[in-house]
Amino acid sequence: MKAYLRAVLALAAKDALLERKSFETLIATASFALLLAVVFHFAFDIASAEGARFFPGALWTAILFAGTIGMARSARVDEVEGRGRGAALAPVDRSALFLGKCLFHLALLAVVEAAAVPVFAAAFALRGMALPHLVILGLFLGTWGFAALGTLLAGATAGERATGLLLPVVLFPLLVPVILGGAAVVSAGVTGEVTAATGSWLRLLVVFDVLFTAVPALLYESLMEV
Amino acid sequence: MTYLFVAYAIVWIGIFAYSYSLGRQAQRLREQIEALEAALGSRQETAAPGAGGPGEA
Amino acid sequence: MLRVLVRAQKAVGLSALVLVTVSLYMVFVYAPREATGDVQRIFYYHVATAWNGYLFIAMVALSGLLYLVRKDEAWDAAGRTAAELGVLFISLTLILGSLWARPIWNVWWTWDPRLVTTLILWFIYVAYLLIQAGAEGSPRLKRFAAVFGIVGFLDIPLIHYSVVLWPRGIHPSVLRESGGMPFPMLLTMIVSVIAMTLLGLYLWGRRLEVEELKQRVQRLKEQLLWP
Repeated sequence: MKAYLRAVLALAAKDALLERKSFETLIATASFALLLAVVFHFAFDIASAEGARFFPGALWTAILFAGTIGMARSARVDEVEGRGRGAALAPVDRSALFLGKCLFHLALLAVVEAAAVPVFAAAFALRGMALPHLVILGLFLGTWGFAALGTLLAGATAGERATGLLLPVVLFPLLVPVILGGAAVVSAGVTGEVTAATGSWLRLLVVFDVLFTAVPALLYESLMEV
Repeated sequence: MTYLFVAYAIVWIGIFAYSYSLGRQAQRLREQIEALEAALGSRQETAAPGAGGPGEA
Repeated sequence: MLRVLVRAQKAVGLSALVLVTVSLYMVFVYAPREATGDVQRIFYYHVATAWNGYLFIAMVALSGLLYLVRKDEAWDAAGRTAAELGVLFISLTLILGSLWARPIWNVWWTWDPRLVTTLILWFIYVAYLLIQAGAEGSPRLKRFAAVFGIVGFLDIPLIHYSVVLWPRGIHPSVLRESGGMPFPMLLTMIVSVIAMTLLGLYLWGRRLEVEELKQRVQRLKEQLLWP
C-alpha cells in the first residue's frame, strides 16, 4: 500500500517536473481562466449588487472551460511525446498511472484556481466571503471530481483527430453533479447561507469523487492496453 | 386534441423512419454481398487453370 | 445471446405489431378520459418510450462491460446499436413530454428534474454515438466508448439527485401521484410499455442484422483482395 502511494506520488511529481520546464500548460490554462473573468464581466454586464449571485457560476464555468483545455493539452503532449508509453513501462499497477495523472491535474487546477478566485472576486465586486473555508472545500471537492473524469476522458481522446471538440462534448454532460454541487457549495460559502441542502451537496460531491476515482482506476487498464 | 395527434404522429413517423432506414441499409448490404460473392465465384473459376485473374472489386 | 433477436425477428415483430395495435386501441378507446382532457393520453406512450430509452441505455452499459471483459466484437456492436435506439427513444420521450407540457403547463419546456435528467441523458448518449462514429477499426476508441457507456450509466442517479436538489427544480411530480391511478389506465400503461419494448427489441434485432451484414461484406472484400 505504501509502495503504491509512493508510486502515485512519484508519477505525479514526474509530470510536475516536466511542467516546470516551461509552465506552458499552466500559463495557457490560467490565462484563459482569467480572461474569462473579463469576458463574463462585460458579456453579462453585471451590476456590483448582483456580483455574489453570479460569482459561483461564472467561476465554475471558467474552471471547467480552462481546465478542459488544460487537461486535453496535457494528454495531447503525453501522447505526442510518447510519455504515456514511457510511464506504462513502470512496474506499477495501471491504476497508479491514472491516479498519478489525476493528482497532477488536481494540482494544476488548484494553482489555476488560486489565481482565478481573487480575480473573479474582484471582477464581480465581491465584498468578502462569509465562510472562506466552505468556498475552498466546495472548490476542492468539485475540482477533484472534475480532474478525475477529465483525466480519464482526456487520456482516451488524446490520440484522436477531433480531440479538442470531442472532450468537452463527452465530459460536460457527465459533470452536471459537479457543476451544480460545486456552484451551490461555493455560493453558500460566499453568502454564508448554509442550509440542510449544503450538507446534501457536500455528500453528493464526495460520492461523485470517490465513485469516479475508483471506477476509472479499475477500468484504466482495459482502456489503455494496446 | 391536436397535441395528442401530433404526439402520436411524431412517434410513429420517428419509428417508421428508423425502420425504413434499417431496411434500406440491409437491402444495400445484401446487394453488395451478392455482387461480391459473384465476383469471388468468377475469380475462382478463372483462377483455377493458372494465373490469378485481376480482382473485379 | 443477441443472435436470438436477429433470428427471432419475425416472431418478435409480429407480436409487437399485435400488441401495438391492442395498445393503440386501449390508449384511444379503452382508457377513460382523464380530468385534464384527452391530451393526457400522450402519457401512455411517453412512459413507454422513456422506459425503452432507459432499457437501451442499461444495455449500452452492460454491453460495454462485457466487451471489456470478453473482448468480443459482438458486444461492441451490441452497445453501439443499443445506444442508437436509446437516443431514438429518449428523443421521442422528450418530444412527447414537450407536446404534453404545452397544453397542460402552458410551456414547451420546464426545468423539472425528470426533464433535465432526460435531456442530459440525451447529451451523454449522443456523445457516446460521436465516440463510436470515429471508432471503426480502432479498438482503443471502442474500449473508450465501452468505458464511457459504463461511467455514463453510473452517473445517472447522481445527475438526477443533483437536479432534484437544485432549488429551482421544484415542480409537482406527475408520476408520483400515479399511486391512485385507476385500473384501466394502469393496464393501458402496462400494455403500452410491453408493446413498445417488443417493438424496440424488434428494431434492435434488425439493427444487429445490418451489423452482421456489414461484417459479411467486410469479410468478402478481404477474401477478394487477399485470397
